[in-house]
Amino acid sequence: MAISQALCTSFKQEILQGIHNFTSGSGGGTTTSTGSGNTFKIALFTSSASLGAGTTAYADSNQASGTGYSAGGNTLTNVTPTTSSTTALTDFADTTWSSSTITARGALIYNSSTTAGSANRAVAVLDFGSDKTTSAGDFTITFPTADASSAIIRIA
Amino acid sequence: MSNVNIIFEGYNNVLQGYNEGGYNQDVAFTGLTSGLGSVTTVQGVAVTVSVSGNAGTSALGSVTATGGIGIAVTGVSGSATVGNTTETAGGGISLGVTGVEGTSALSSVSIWSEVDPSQTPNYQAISTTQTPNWTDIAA
Repeated sequence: MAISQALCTSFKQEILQGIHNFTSGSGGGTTTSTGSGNTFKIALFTSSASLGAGTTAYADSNQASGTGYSAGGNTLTNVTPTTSSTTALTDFADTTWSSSTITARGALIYNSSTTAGSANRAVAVLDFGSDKTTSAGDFTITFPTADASSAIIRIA
Repeated sequence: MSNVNIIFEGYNNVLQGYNEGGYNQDVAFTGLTSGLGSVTTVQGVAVTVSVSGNAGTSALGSVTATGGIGIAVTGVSGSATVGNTTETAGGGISLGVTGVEGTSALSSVSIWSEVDPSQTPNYQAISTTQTPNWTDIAA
């Protein structure tokens, strides 16, 4: 079992199929004409999970649990994609599980909207490098600077 | 805390002797005090304390916050450690994650088209006046 940080391969394919929309706001479709994007979520997983480039969809197996955490994780706040030089990128607002008691080794960002007939399509796997634990405290995911070299999701 | 209404009626009640006081008349009640104990809040949990009623005096005890309120821990430094060790500062962590990049590529394409049938083919006769020549190859 391992968690390897990666942009999921299925996600790369689905980009070309126009399945994901990261535009700010949520509940919209897969075209920008709706004015809002899909709903993306982030779920935490234990070190027993197997996640990586081959992950295609969210599943609750080996998901983190504990006080302050609900299966499925937190809903992310989209930041409309932009470009920097020749790189396209998108970002999310930081997210927090407040007053939580959680141990997690990694996370999965996924599209919880039903797009092209399927929901919970995997986007990216995040590897924390080691177990991260809170004890009645805030578990905050701080996303990196949204630029061409650091943004959470980039297409160079 | 709910209101408590104590009604004393004059006739045959527990504080008055038999046949004392007027029937169905209120009796003044003095010396009543009330109080509330301490309230403990946990981070992220809203607590609302309402005090109502006709008590002459009321009081709230001290408020104690637990659970790391107002303590910001950034990154994985400070009291953070790797492995399964629980972070200590306020019991919370702020976990910075790194991004992922998908590299894109654009391949070259082959372009072809049909042969133009409107071309005017041409040819040139081989000259029969050439003088062929050769050189021996060293053995």
